[in-house]
Amino acid sequence: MAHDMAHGLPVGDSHDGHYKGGFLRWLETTNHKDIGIMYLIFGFTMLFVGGAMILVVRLELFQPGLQFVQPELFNQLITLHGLIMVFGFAMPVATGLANYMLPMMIGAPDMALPRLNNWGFWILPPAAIMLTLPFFLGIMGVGPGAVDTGWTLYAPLSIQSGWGMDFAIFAIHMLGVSSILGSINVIVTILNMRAPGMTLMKMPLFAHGFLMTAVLLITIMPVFAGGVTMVLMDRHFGTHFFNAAGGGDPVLWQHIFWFMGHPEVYVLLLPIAGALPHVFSAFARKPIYGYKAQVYSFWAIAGLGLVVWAHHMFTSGMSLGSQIYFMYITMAISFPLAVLFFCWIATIWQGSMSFETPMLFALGFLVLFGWGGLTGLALSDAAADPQYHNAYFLVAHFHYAFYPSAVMGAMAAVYYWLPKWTGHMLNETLGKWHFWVAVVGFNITFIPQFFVGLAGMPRRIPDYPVMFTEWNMISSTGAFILGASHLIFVYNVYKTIKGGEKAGDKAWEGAEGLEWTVPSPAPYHTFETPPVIK
Amino acid sequence: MSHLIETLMKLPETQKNGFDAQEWDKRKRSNKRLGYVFGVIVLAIFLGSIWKYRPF
Repeated sequence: MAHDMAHGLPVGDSHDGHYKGGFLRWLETTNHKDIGIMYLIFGFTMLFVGGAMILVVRLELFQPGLQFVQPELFNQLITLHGLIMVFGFAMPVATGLANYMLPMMIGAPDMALPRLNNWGFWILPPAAIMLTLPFFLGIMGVGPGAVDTGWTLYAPLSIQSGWGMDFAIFAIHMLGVSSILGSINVIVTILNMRAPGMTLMKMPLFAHGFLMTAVLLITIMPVFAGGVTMVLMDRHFGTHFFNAAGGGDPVLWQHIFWFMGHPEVYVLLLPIAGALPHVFSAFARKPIYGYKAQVYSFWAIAGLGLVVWAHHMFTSGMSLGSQIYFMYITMAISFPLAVLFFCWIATIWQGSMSFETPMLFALGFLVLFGWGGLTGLALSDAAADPQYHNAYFLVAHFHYAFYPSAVMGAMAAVYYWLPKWTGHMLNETLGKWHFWVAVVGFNITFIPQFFVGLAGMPRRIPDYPVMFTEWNMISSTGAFILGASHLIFVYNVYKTIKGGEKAGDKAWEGAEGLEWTVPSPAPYHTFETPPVIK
Repeated sequence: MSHLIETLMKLPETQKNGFDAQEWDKRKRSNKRLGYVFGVIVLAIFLGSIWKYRPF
């Protein structure tokens, strides 16, 4: 310990590769790689928890009528699925990637605030328990069950809901604190820990993507925390923020929620949009095209993302002028997004491409997110929105946005950097099986939802008219195929960690960047002396 | 950029020789300052959002 302190390292950590064993190592660690691994394991565990919940929902929706779950439980399942996937899976996985890779990519020995980093992670498991505990208690007949308002927590429903809502509020506070701490750490690391010579415009795109994510998070999460605090006060302390009878306004909640909820899309997209250019460049064996254009697009997406939230509320009775503003500003986001797409396509254009698993997932993202973006343009049309609003078309649209970015993009990044983390190459055959089963399963699940949505099937219902049966049967079948595909991923990661072909320092022929100059697996502390970049 | 890194970036010899305590100590102080600045910003946004819609 004295040795660590003498070297300015956090207590309990060590730069010579010796560290505590067992659980204490993970509880006390301040090492960015340890914490990154914990974030990733936590995130992917929650993917399976949230995934299992929605498979019960899809099982119920396989046929019209009520077969397996009552409407109350159905509402809890869809609510927890949304909250878990956004706050429990997608954000922690992105933070895990940032924790593990950022210091290596910018030539730093660790994150800037290592103790804060440890704290940021260890808030997550109790928050996840708080969020889900009422659900399991409810199943056992104790209490009213988990929060059941839908992940949007709309007032006045959230004011009237059972005490599962209080648990959700505290869980959201804790998750928010965790992501704010993580974001501050990322910003400080990027601003202050870059290797000498690495100016902001020489920084890897992944760092730029995550910098924008962190800026968005510290802007939106405090507002959301303020919002759920108001809900808590309305529920228990006699205030009327959202109660019309007391002079409050339920629509105010919608504004507060979507001020967080819409930028959240970019919170999930931007880390992946930063990681994928590295994958495209590596497997096309070409330099990244349009580096500066991509950086400026990240800024534009983050900036515009903060001022478009009310396109989720076209049917709430807003003025015509507001509708026109939110419609056009929403459509404007497609410009920087299009710049990114053109840059990515130009990066692989006429490249010497090979289709290893990370590249397949990156290309899968490109195609599927493209559909998500295009259907988003349809939804942004204020005149057409009443037809789509709260219909299954919307569910299909946002899954085409979320799944490619949060899951396929994360898979691309994990498969790409896995050899650097484990020192072993992944099993390509299993990786390709994972990709194709996931793509087929995903499309079978969500294409039918566009059709039933356009035909008028509303979201969040446990029962539906008989006319929607066939498409729902197909959709449910696809959901189980999609769920099964991720078991292949777990097995592949397990096999890779256990053994497999040894990975060199530069695991992929075309990969470039600081992280590929160090051994695989990377040493416990990567750059104790900063590398110099000229 | 990737070309730039490949051609110009060199891992220094001192990589294996130990920890540059002076360099990182200097940055550690600055890290804390920056961390507090962002912490204050976050707190201000949180309190401001509640204050703006206060019911009194």
